[in-house]
Amino acid sequence: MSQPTFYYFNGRGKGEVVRLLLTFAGVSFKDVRVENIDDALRARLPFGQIPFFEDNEIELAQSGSIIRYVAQKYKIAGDNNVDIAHGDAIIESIWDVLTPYWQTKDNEEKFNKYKTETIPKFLTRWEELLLKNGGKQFVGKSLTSADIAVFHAIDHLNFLKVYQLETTKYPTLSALYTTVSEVPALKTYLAARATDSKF
Amino acid sequence: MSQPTLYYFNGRGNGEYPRLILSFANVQFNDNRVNGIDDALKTRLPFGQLPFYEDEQVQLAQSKSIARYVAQKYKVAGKNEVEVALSDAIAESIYDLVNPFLAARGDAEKTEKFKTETAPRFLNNWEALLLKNGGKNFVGESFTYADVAVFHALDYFKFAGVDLLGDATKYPTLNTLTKSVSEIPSLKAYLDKRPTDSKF
Repeated sequence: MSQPTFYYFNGRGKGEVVRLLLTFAGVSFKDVRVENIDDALRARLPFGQIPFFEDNEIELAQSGSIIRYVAQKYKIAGDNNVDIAHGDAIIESIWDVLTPYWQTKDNEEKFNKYKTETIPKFLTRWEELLLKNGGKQFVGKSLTSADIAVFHAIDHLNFLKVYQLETTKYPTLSALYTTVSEVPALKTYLAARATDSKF
Repeated sequence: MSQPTLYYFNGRGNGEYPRLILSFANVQFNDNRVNGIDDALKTRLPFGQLPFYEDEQVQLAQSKSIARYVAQKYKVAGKNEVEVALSDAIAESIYDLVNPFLAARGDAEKTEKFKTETAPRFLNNWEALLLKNGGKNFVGESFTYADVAVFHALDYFKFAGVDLLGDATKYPTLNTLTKSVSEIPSLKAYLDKRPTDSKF
């Protein structure tokens, strides 16, 4: 096989962080967007689910596992085990922010609570964690997968029209967002990706 | 600090999984069961949440991150990067079972769907993956934290009143795995002494 291949639906959802990480790491990969999982593909999926990733070493399911495998392999997870662990926890936290959107969006009261309490709680924590590490990135001394993941969370909240990050309220987080979006490889990817994804 | 410390409420919830991994890895740790989060503790929590883990190197939130850090540190995550990733995926898969179960509680239709569709799909997958790896454990040649993660999921369901494995004939390899994991000495020592009257 010549290139790593990533299989996911034609949307952002659980796949976009992987795409962003591979792009950030400068990895040429096949970005396969699946309309329907046909029998041939399903037979290869450990849990019958996508996203699914394969390269010449591994066939891997589970979005989180793929994120961590790619980050580790292409050395963007952090410089030592402590930074990697702290970055790991920050990446986990983005799902505490994104998952409730799907869980609450059809219940006005819960959705309101999500928007007015849950999201700001995490944004505040992220702002604090950034400052605690010097303000430029979440762990270590350069951008890691944790920064890309939080970028995605903020970007996706905006995309879903749920929340737009206030620059004055979260200046450090806003600066990080801008920095990540201007990493050349990401800038190219972001400019070219579809804007009409359904999720 | 002399020992690693895990902070969680006095229940299973999201704290039990790190407890099991720490025990499996034979780590002497403070199993700090707190009644509530006081101000002193809250300021130390990266996301204001428990579980929270600290040792001489890290102060770590997020139950799954704690499990992965402990597994990696004490060398029970897998023998190489591929095994680590495959174990990671098995450990992740338990949430595709646990989360729908939690979401279905109180809803008869969703619970039915969980029992007749979601659960069997995962149990069949796990049974198949075990067999594909020789039948004794999920990844490589010895137990990794992936085996303990699946044990935890099935054990938690039983604790919540749902015996997913049912009679041993339906998922024989999975059944045998849960028994052998429960008999790993360091894990057995924890299982024998943990509270049996946890409320969650």
